[in-house]
Amino acid sequence: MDDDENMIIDVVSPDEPTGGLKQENGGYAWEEEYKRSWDVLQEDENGLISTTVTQLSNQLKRKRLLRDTRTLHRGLVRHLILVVDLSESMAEKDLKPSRHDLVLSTLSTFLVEFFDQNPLSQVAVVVTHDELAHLVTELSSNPADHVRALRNAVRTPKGEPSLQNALEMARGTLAHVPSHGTREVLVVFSSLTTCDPGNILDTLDALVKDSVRASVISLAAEVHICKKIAQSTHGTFTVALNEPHLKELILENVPPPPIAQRSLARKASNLMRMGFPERITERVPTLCACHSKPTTKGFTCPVCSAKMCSVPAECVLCGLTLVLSPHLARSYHHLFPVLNFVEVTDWSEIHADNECAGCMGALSAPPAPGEQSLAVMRTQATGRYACPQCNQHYCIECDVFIHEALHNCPTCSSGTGAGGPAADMET
Amino acid sequence: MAILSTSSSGMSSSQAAGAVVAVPARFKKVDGILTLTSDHRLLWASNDADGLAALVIELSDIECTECASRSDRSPRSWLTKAHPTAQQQSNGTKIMLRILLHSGTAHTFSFTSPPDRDAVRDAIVAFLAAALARTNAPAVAAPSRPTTEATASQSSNVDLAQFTTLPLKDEVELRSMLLKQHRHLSRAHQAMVRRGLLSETEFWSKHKRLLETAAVTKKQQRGPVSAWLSDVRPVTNEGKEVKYVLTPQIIHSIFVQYPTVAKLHKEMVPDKLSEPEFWTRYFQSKFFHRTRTVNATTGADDELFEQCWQDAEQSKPSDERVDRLNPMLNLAATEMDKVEENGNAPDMTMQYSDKNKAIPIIRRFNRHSEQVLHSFLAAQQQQKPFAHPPRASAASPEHLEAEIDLVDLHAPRHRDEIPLAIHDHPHTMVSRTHAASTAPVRRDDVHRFVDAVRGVRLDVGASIVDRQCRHAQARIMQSVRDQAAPAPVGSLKEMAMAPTTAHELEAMFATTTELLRHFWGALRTDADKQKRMLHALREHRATVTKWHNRVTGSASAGEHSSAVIDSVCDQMVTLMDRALQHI
Repeated sequence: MDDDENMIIDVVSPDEPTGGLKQENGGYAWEEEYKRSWDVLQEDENGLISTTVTQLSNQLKRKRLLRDTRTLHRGLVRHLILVVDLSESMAEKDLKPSRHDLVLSTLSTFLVEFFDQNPLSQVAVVVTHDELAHLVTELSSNPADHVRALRNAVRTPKGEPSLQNALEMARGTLAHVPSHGTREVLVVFSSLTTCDPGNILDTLDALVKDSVRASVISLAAEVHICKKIAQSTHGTFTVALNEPHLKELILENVPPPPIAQRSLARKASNLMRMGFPERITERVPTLCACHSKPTTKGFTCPVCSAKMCSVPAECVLCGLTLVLSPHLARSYHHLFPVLNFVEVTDWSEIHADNECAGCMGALSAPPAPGEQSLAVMRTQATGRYACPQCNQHYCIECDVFIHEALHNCPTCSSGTGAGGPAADMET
Repeated sequence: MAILSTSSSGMSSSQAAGAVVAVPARFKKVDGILTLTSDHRLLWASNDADGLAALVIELSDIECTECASRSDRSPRSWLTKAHPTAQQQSNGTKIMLRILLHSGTAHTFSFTSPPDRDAVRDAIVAFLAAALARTNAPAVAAPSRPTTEATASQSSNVDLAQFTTLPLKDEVELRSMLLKQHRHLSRAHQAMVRRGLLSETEFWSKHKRLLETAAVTKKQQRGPVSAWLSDVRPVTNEGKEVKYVLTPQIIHSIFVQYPTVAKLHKEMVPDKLSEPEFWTRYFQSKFFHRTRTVNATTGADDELFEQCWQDAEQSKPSDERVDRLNPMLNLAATEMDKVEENGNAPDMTMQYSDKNKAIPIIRRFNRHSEQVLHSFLAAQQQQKPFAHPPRASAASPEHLEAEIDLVDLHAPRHRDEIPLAIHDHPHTMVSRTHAASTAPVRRDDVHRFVDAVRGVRLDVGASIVDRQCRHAQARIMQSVRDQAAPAPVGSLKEMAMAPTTAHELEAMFATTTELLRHFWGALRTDADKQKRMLHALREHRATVTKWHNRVTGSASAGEHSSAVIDSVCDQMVTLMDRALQHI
């Protein structure tokens, strides 16, 4: 009667959602008892590990496809509350090494990346366990603080989560955010239940009224109330299938989301007062205004000369937002994202060099005139990706690098691309 | 914990004063009576002594009070307090009150019932609130009257303005708790409010965020857990004894699930059976085991619980008619139905081997689910007593379409998005140099360039002859080294300085930052406050310079610490000058 445990469930795996890392049975991570991670690397008959390489390139290709490049109003000054569920269900081991460890490590990466791309924003962390929610860190722009606090928050997850308490706490923390900043909540939820003191739909109404955008990432399954909360507040609701997918979903929240029309109504002012601090180094230490600790390095506020330890921050004495110009430049890129590069499919279009315009690496040459059969011309991938504006060809790694890190097409900016904006420039 | 001893004159006067609140309380494991007198004193006398107060506390010495939250989870709590509110209290709490004095000593009293403790606490808090009103009288022009709490909130509204939505009493407690937790806050509070420079309201208006966060944390409540508490697992030690752990919460949930057991308990205990006996028989009975396992032959026969078994067995599902049935819902479908193989017919392969044994468990699950749903739906029914789903639309086309048309089937709609009105000027980020040759750079060019760069040698020494250049070079190298060196962020003031000096320096810096914070906050908004702050800043600046001169004049330890003192004092003076010049 109990032989069913060993039955292999024959599930048709969805088409490449995992970026190439198919499981042994072709199914979901939770169906396996253990994973033989060494099976991923397989040598083919020539003794080469080309499968791993193709898997990596497939992963890169996937990254290209999902970018949102419309020029819309986006909130660049973001206030994000990260809600982490630290209940008993996080101790499950269906995501290796355990949900708890994986989520903590992914969130550390997320926080560093988030402050890298959104330097003007602030994050606070809330954890929920034992039917209560705890504010672990206040709204601040220092990623190291948040990462450290997350690690020390709770060692072993226990109890049940409380979605309502966590959302209420997030809402309370966001209550005194100025109107020019966006209010966002990102919930990483792994339990299928929640233990609330009141009616969670009331909390949902309050969130909508305060124009808070809540997104939920579920680790277990699609839970109706999470989906409802995300959709009513114009956020996103996603369910993680396996480890790479979870990382992808969490990192999707790094670029700023578009602003919905309704929240414009509550924007009172359109101008934000900022100051540019001066970086000083002293021989003899003086006290910093934020921690009252003696330091030799710091940034001085241009208005009140208070010394702050790290920037961007709000000056403790006069309340002025202190930023450096690279921070502003990094935020600007999100407003005008680089257009998605188009894959070159037609071999006949390639008449120039066989080098990638970004890294000078060799691109595959078009087949010799003798071999130009229809089959070859139509099916063989060129491996070239062209910028729609300047029509230069790039390889896949340069494509990903340009879109993720550089945020500028090099040939468009250098004015050497054919048909680029250099033609319009005045001398 | 030291017991304050009083002089005999004090004791005699306390006997003469009238008592406002007098409750029995325990102090240091001795029973006694705690009295709050009308001349603002708290007295505790043990029952053995004859009226002499062993502990006298002046109410003005009290810094804050705390209510106990320590819970007592020992299984000896066979308390008969298994009534509906037991779920909200932690089981077996010792009802305690802890009083903290300014000097740092703490006294703990335990009471027999919560109302006693609350009465004492309320009286103390009322006194504290009135004291706050009194101390703020010179700073603000509001009339100061030593009043009770009720009138304090009306008359001195200006001072006790609330920043959270909690009642006034709780907010005062919250403030004192925050002061205790954050040392820099209490230092600033000491400097500003005690000396009358600022009122409480103004002080807390700058630290609003802390207050609100603390208020949100405090307002949280725990929701009821719908886990199966009545399913008690035994704890076996070494196969001999089988121990069941019962807490009042578990007892309460057993009573809710099986009302007959509750009835029996009320009848039997404590007259005919004692508590431990009752529960022993319960765990040994067939009833307990039958409802838990399918093989129901374990357990002893016990006619007491046979009654319960009959009730559980006989109870049929309630006969209410369900007339508002949703035709879209197929109540008989299970997850075993394989639509691909059998179509819409129900699955016939997965059947129970013995229905009779499974039924009690199925009934138990159903009853539990019913209770969980009722707890939510009952509340909802209360709110909207007249809401009922529309009946007529059971099979209408719109209804059908709504059921079939799932959200996931549509492409995600991007509505409510605002296109950007700014135009991107590519010239801003584009290099302004035209390529001299229009030919693109080739790989060989890059290699040639790299080789050329490798050959370049930077020869500094030979060309710099001029002494000034060398001096400038040395300075540049020194500043680069300084920037690269790790910052010696020592903890506070462990820089070879006398601890009193360090302490004073810290306190002065705290005062400076607090004053400046309020100054900059009131710069364009509150002219009166601004004037006050300016005045205070000038005074403080004079104090700092005087202190600095005094310390450098006297023999101080080491030149490094004096350098630090100098730099910090200069920094403070600069900060204040900046503010003073700003007007």
